[in-house]
Amino acid sequence: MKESISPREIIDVFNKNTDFKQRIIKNENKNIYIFFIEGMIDRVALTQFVIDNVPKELSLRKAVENGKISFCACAEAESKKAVISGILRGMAAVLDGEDAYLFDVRKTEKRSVSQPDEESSVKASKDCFVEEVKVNTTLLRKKIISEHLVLESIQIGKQSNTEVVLAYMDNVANGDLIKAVREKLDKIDVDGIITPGVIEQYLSSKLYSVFPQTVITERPDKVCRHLLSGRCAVLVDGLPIGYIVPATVSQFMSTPDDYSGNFIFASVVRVLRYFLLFVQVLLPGAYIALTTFHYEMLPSKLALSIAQAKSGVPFPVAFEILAMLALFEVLVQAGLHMPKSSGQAVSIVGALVVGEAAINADLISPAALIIVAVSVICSFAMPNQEFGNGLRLWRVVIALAGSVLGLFGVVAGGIVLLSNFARLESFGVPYLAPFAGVKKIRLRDELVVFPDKLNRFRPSELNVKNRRRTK
Amino acid sequence: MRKMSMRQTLMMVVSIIFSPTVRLFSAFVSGRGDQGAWVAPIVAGCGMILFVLVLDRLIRDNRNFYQHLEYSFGIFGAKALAWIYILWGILLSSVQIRYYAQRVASTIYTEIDMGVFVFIFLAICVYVLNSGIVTVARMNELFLPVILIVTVALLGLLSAKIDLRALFPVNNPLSIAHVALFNLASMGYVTFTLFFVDEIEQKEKFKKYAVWGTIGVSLCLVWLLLAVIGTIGPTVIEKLPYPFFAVVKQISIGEFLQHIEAFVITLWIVSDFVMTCFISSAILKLMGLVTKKGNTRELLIPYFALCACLVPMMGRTNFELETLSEKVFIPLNLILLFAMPIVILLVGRIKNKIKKHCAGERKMI
Repeated sequence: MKESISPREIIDVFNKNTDFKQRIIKNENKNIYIFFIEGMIDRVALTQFVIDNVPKELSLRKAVENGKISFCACAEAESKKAVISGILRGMAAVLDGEDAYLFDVRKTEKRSVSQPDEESSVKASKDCFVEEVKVNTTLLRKKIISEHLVLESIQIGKQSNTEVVLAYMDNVANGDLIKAVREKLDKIDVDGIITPGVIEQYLSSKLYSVFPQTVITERPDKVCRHLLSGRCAVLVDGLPIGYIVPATVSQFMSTPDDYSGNFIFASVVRVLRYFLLFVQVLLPGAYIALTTFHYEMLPSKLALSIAQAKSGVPFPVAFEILAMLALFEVLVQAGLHMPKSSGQAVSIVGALVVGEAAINADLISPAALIIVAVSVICSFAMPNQEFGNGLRLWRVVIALAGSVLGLFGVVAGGIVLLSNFARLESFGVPYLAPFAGVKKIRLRDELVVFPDKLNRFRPSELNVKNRRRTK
Repeated sequence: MRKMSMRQTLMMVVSIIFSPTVRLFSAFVSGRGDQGAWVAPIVAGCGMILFVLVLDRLIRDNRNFYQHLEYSFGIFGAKALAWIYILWGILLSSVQIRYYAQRVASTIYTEIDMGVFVFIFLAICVYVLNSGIVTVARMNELFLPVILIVTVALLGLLSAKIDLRALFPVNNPLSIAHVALFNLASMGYVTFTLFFVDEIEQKEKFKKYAVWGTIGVSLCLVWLLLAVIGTIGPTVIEKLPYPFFAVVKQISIGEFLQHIEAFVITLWIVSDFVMTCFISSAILKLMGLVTKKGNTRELLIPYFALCACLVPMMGRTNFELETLSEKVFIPLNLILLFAMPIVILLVGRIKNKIKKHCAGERKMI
């Protein structure tokens, strides 16, 4: 039922705010109040399409109904709460003591759609999400022109009332998945969504895991590709990213470029990426194990050259490797928090100058430096930074296990790491899908890239409504 | 409850067959079957396929192992038999863990006490099994292809060294039958599938997967024996503690690929891990059914602690362990994993017939 909204009540709510503005227009019978927050509205639009058209003789309701005020983005506010919420979102509220209308004359400062910084691509589209959720939903709508693309809006955050959009294809995505995501979003009980971690934590099934359980991307094309596969996406006002669920390991290993060029080359690169994953995680630990515990397992020439390089270095191999890994993390952190120009200098000084000086001073052996460098370079080949961070942490754990227990420690660490992957599920979909935990193991379009022409079916593990992609 | 597919279950069975096979199969069979031992897996495979038909009937009944025991032997009989299985399972787990620790300690860590490896191994088992056997099943889906690829690659590399004269003549059918029985004792772990029936999806696919699995495993075993016997001969094998390990040590390609027995050790540990988790889960599941405890997670630590206590009592040397396996566990495996399911099926059928007959008579009256 509609409640009568007194302009006085609205003024009382906002009267302490300096950016709250009001304009009163004298009518024949009563005053018409216009409320808005300065800086959030388009002054020209408000003046031209609303204030100039406020009638002197008609009531506000009649003026809107008769088309005297013809501004298209206009909605009647049913309650005081709606008026307050509208004003806070940058709308202009027009009240005459009986009726209240909200005019969407928003004009906030926003970043224009630019090229993605983190997920750059050679051939794929060059647009990326911005902080304005409406712009982001428009980017999706422009790529998927279909009535089946549903964008549900939810408000989250007790204080911030942040707009969160749940996106899915209603003719593809599994109904249970949509329901589960919606329920998880509804359960979010926080003051505000200011940082990306909040949504991620609530969408994750296991909080105490270092591996991401949602795919975070800044690319609308990536979101669209996953929506068409039957996944759901979540966009948050104020965050220039989209969350894709359910997440699986294979998603963290693919890039938009995989689908932009020749599929054979892309397949080779993807297989290489999986190989690099193992190298990145296991190489430091295996090197420590082999050179400390199982020297006899190395080919004799290699063992000799390692021993030669190691001669003169006072530290054990395990210390060398672990210290180098720690130093690498320090360099990464220093590079991240320095201004861009200085960040590069830190990398050069840290990696090249200090590295070479340390070798010359016989503090570390060249072999150890090469091993850590190879492992670090491999970690940069991981397309997803969040996933790569988890692997970096496990690399240290496995290196520690290798330095204490040798090859046995590396294998034990590997088993525990794999068990961490195997126990994870994202919205009921095994994290290792489609390599493990699914009815039918599928390598096509996961380990290798398949041309769209042959990629006729959507992933079976998503239990989509419509598995067939093409005829 | 998270469920696993029949394919995942049987993949675990294939992985756990790998462990005892590589461990002592080649030494045992060469000792008993001489140069003709490589024929034994074919004989065992044929027997196994017949046994798969028996298990298929039991799995299709949609009862778990304890329910089968109850149906066939009544509540008290079932309880008594279930406790025998539990006791045997604990001992079997302990002996497997002992084998694993012995192998690691005697091949690559000769100066470290095997207790260290036992403790770490069991801690990992508890950690992983805490999230259920489904986690192990998923891990094994990645392990098994690696185990198979590396084993086949190693056998392929060995093939060039096979001396055909060491493999013929095949003229001792009795000893081959004896070896086939041993082979069956390790293949019989497939019976544990019955313990997990209510956690398995696609039960109807058991026969198909089990038959193909048996054929694959048998062929792999034949190849393994051909490679091992053909490379170093049956008489030398008999005297080696780990013949497959010794044979793999001989492989070298150029000057860069040498000492690849490290891969074998890695695979051993992985296979032992899957085996221990699989058998322990099955026994804990049975324990849960007997004691009517829905959640057996809290039994994990006591179970493995008990195993850890029993491990040192399993034998002092490798020789004692192998004797224990041969004299106690192989016959027990054959009885509990092969004979018992057949008895359960027969008793169940007879009971069904009697029930039907009685129901018919009542109708007549």
